[in-house]
Amino acid sequence: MHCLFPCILAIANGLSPIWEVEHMLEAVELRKVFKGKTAVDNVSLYLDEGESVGLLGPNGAGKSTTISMISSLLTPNSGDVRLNGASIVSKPQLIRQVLGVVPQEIALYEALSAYENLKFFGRIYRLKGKELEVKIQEVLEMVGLKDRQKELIKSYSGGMKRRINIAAALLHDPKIVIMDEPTVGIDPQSRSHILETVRQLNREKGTTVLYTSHYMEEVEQLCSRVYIMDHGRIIASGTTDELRRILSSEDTLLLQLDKQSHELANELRNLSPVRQVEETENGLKLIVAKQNQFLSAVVQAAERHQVQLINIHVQTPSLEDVFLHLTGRTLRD
Amino acid sequence: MIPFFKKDFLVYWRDRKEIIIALLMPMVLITVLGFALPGWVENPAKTLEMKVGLVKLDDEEAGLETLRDHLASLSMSDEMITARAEQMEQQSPVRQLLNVLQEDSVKEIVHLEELEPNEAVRQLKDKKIEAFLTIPAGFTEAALSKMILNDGEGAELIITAEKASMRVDVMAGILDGVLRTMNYQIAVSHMPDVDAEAAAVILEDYSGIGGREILPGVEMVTSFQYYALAISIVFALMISVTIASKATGEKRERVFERILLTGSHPLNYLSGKMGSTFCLSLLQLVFVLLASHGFFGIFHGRSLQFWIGVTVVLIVLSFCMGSLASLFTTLVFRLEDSVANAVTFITVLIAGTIGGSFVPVYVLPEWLQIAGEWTPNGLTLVALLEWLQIENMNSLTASMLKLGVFSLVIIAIATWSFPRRGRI
Repeated sequence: MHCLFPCILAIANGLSPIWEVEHMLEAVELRKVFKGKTAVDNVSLYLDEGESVGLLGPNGAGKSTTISMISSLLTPNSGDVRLNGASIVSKPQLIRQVLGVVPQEIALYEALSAYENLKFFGRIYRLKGKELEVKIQEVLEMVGLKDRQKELIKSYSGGMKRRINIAAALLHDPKIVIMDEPTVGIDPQSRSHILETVRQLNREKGTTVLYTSHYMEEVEQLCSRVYIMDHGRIIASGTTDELRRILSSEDTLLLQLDKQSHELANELRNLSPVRQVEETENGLKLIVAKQNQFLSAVVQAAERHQVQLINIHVQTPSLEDVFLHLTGRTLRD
Repeated sequence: MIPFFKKDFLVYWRDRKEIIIALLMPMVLITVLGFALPGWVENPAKTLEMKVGLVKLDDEEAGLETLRDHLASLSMSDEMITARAEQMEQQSPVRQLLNVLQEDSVKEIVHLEELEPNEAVRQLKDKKIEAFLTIPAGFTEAALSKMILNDGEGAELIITAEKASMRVDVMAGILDGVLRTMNYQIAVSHMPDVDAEAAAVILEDYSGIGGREILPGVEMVTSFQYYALAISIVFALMISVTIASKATGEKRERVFERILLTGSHPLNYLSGKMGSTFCLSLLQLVFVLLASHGFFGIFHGRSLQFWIGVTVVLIVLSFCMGSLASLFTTLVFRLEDSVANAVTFITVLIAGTIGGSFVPVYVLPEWLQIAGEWTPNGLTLVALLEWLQIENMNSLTASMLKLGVFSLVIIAIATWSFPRRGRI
């Protein structure tokens, strides 16, 4: 009885029963065709509450179209987008109060100041009076532009514009933020500030983030899970470690030694996971099959040959490598 | 709606280039054209030119004959009878009237053609003539009886027209002037025994035609007046285009999508465009007309009623410009940017040309003048020119109703076509 009542209530409100609700936001088999050309084909993805998820793909991969469908700006030809189990395709108003979208473009009025822009967007988010004022100052503080709020947007640098672009999406305290390439073409200082803002949002405020970027290292830093898109399809997904494992079953180990030792090199060659040993200027480079216990074997061999291990560096494949491996091209192609 | 209105107003207001174009450029053009082309507009012949039918049912000779017989039967001396008979010959009202209508200055405006009654009615219906003037049977007899003998009720001339127009008013004014002069001359100079107050010949009250009132007279439009009105109107049209063109950037930079994501109804966005265009057009029109009045005295000595009429026209016109801004904005979202810009530009160019905003309307062929009155700028210009000339309230009200209905239709089309969420 305890479970039955909310379930009936959910069905009565057009929501899915509680036992089907798994994710906060879920796109199910989305498909969008423009003038006979399929832009997004059978894309499914999900976001759980408090997660930070990356969406990677080159230009034209279908990321922006997917985002537009998720944010209810575009109606899919087929498929569904669900917020806490309820479809937003037929009820777009469900998502608008909980969603903040940072578009790739600077979606601001250049002739207005940062403050005036935020005030305008705040007003149409139905904020007013003191609440609006407090929110404006809060988001300006968050993006580090409180001191320059009275200046016109057109006088801002590219990075500052992008920071206000983000601020405008945060005014109404959204539970989910979708960021479409928020760091394109900006200075390192602004980029660092934006990344810190995203971290702060996700970790301190618990905001769920869907982050798309060309910069693989940003996604690696910020996101726990990643979807990779190409030609309108999701071609891979998982945690960053899971994705790296797609690329190769091997690791590259760089051993920095206090002295050169041919004996150690020969012994390591005979270990089963080792595929290749190469002597370098200050140690050895090993190509080894992925194996959890291998490092202890290396340490024991070094002790036997009285060679001190100064440093061990395990080179794992980057997401960039994974993308290259999956699509045959780099993200910026 | 208020945030949208404030935003659009501020965005436009901060664009110095647009402000200069909207406020200073019209003043420069009015000054240059007013001084460079003086007299281009003042020539009234073209604008007032009209074809008028003349239906002559009166038999002048028979009338004179009857009067002569009547004179002979009166108990007067032979000398007196001869004198009166000579006067009747000299004072023939029909001849006097036709002489005036054949004068060069009148012929420039009124092209008179004698027609049979049925033919006159047919030509009027076919719009081949503006009106026809009927000299009824017994006119000469009745007029002269009153003029010479102070006998009877006098005679009436009848103007028949399909609808009210400035030209009909002008013709009535001419005839009225002729008849007044005739009556005055007879009553005061020649016939001291005839009651000077009693008019022998009058123009039938034609106030029933299209609900017009008899006109007090027609004022001449000066070049400065024409250009101040025409240019301020076309620049108000430009404001609607400029406000709508800002939507191109809002579409390209996804600002509109961001607005939709706030949950705001798309029509709030559209109403912001309308509201800001209304205010900016009104400001621009008031500034240009007041500045023109200040510099060139275009409305010197006008009555309060005149100013109220102008204010009403400017408000309705600004409302219309707001509706056009909403339509042009819809086009931006419905069409490719380049196509939307081309459609808007061509619309303004055509409306500006046939609506008399670039060249005086009277230099255009008549069919284009008629077409021009179907453009909001053309309709407003004609309404203001008429108001300037004759201050006819009925005519102004009719024009403003037309403009208001036109605006509402445009708003309905723009609203219906404007994209909603999921349809862009």
